Amino acid sequence: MLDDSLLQKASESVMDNDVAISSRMRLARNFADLPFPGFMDMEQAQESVRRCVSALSDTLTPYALDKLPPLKRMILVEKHLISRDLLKTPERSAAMISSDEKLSVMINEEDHLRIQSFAPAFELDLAFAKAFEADTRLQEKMNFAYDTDLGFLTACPTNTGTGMRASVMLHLPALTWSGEISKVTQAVSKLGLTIRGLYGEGTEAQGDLYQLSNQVTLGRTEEEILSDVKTAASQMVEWERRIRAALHAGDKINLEDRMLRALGVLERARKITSKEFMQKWSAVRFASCMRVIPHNISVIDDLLVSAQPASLQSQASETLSDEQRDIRRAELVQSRLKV
Amino acid sequence: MLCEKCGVAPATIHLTTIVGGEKIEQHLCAACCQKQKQALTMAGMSTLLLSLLKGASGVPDETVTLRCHSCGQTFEVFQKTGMLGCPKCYEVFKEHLTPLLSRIHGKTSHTGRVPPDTFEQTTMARRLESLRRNMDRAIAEEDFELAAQLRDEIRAMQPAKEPSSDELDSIDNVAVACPDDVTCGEVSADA
Repeated sequence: MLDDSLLQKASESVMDNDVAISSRMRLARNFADLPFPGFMDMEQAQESVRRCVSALSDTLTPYALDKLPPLKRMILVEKHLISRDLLKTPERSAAMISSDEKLSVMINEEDHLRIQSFAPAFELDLAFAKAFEADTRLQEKMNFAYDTDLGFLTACPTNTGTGMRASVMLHLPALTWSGEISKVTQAVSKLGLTIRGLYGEGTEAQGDLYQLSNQVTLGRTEEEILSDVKTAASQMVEWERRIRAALHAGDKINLEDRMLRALGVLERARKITSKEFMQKWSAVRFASCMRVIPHNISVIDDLLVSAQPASLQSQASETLSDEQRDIRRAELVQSRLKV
Repeated sequence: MLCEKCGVAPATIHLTTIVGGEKIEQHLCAACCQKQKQALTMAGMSTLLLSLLKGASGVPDETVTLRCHSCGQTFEVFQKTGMLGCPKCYEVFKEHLTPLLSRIHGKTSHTGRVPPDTFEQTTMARRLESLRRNMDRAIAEEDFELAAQLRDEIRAMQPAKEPSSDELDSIDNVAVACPDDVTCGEVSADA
């Protein structure tokens, strides 16, 4: 069971949420006696799903992706519960998700199992504990591919060893706007870490949101990796705060002008695209953290998922065109931002 | 000096990157440097791996015919996709994967968690490895008393039926050579 103090700390945590939005832990595991998902036939893929469902159905709800409407699938992606890659082969894949949506297991993505746990702000310890609790439970029932020298074996050698990816989603408007972000990128790469866009591999940093995570998975213990990511994330949080304060102190009028213009658009526009929304959202979130505007940061953070395309569509009774969706987005944002 | 990417603008930025212990120097103009940084920022794991595979030197030609007997994956296809076919591929391609793992992770041995059924075996193997490393260091530092102690610990941990290895026996008597290759001392560790 999880340590109560960890859960309590998470529930009370508002510390660091000005920069750290959420924490995530991912573990890659594979069955020892089956080929990796890319090399499985349909029967083997079904066997992999069957094993996972049988082992986890007491605590997680299974989702057969091919039976799930496309809209529901996209909502799972927007909530980061599953990856876009999992949707490439819906007839072979499945997902299992906890009722509080803090734990999910993707089945037959790149590896047979991708155990993911999510925690608010900078609660990486909590995400770590939850992921390994699930892993320990699974290992009592399953035989995972493991080599004494190489650790847990994965389809791609970049994940071999611990199979662990610890990541923190960071909101870095000041570092981005000031151009300092390139220094950050260089600094983290020297530490065996990497920084990527909002939806992971190959995506751009919409809304000045970045995922900091470990790149090295072999030759370091899980605790060492956790510590590496926590240390780097803490330093980036401090770095971002320093630049935020410097920007505000150096050119208050221009900075606040940019923030308040963004708020003006979100509060007044009749329609807004996803891309423009993310740009303005970042400036408004920055403004809230600097107390330039009275809006609560949690209201702004909630918009991050609810204003995404699939979430907007799910709230509508008919199929929305692109323009209709942009209108709905503007309406939603205005209703939520009313102080 | 002109920018090595575009060859037009003067190189004002001199970058030194260390990848897997290898030092790479680049001389770029501000615009090309910015483009490269953006590309690097968003580069994913597979992109990194594929670039390492592409740039991998010293991979002999015969690797193209290497095929995993269990899943049918070939090393040639792996070099293009970065994806192995099954756990057995790690054994079949071991010789060529080891340098690659070293370039990606900087190390080639797992030190993290182990499955419950191999826990005892792995703990023992790691303890033995650590003792061996310490024994080698003690020998290098000419601390033969400590080396003999460590040797005894290693022997105690190994199954009785297994004969002592040459490596362990060899430290009963240790010869130390001076840099000019003149033997200047001999020590019996059991003495």
